[in-house]
Amino acid sequence: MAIKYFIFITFIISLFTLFIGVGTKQKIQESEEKPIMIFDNSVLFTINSQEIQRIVDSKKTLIYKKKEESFDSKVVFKTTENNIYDTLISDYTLKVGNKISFLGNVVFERSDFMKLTSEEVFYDLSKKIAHNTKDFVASYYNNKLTGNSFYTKDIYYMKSKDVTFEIELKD
Amino acid sequence: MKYALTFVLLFSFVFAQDNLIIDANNFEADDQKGIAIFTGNVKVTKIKDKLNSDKLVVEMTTNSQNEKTPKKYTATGNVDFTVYSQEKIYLGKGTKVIYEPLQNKYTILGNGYLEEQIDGRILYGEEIYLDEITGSAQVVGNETKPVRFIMKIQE
Repeated sequence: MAIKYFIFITFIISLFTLFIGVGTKQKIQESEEKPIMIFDNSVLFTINSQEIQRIVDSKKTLIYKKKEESFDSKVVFKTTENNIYDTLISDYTLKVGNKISFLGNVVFERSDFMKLTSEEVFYDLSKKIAHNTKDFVASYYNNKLTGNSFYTKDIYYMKSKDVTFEIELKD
Repeated sequence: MKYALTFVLLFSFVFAQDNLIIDANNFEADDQKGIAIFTGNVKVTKIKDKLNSDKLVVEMTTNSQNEKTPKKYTATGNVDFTVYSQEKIYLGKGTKVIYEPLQNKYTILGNGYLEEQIDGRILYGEEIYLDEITGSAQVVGNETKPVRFIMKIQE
């Protein structure tokens, strides 16, 4: 009797693991999309008829059908204002459509008046909006700003939560 | 090693800069208008001086070194402050409190209250001005709310 049960349970388990295995295999195949182009130690320019819109300097950039991935990259964007550029440095960058996610040791510089460091920054190319949800440390002009969940709209407006703003007192 | 650490600690203590620190729940900056707005549980600390309010607007100006520095602080909503000046301690309250760092001047507007803790003097008025350097105060009242001055007499 015990042998009967043992054979039956072994059969059920083997049947179950067989289907699990197929499902996982399918998932891996889906995420293993092959890039169309691979650039090593490259500088990529995005230009329109008038000017350079974006420069991507990276150790490795992979271009897929619907997304782009960059590793150890420095991306420079032109803002709506002349002579003001946004620079973003990060370990990993993922661009899907007009939205770019910068992850890992992110440094966000807006011209020479703001420098912000965080673990993530999200950038909307069409609206020129940068935001995040995590803690950040920033220098804003000559003052120090720490907080979380920052949001910048165009080049003039910025907001954030739970801040400590430190102003250096001059004699 | 122990001496080196002590030296570093002493050095950093002696040369530590006194900064003005603002803590708040929310922060907004508008460069075009040259203002920074802090809202929600705003706490300002400058060495021993303290100011608490619901909202604080900081107007910035550009100095000779092309640096952005505050020229006016306007606090509104449950404003109270403590200022140390000329060996005196001032406690203040009002509907609106303005601090102008370039003039070292505090202005209390609306239901103004200023208490000098060491001598026990209390001022009430619609407008109270306090000079941070000299420690002198000026009070302005109106017809419905005249100036009131209270001095505690020690027995």
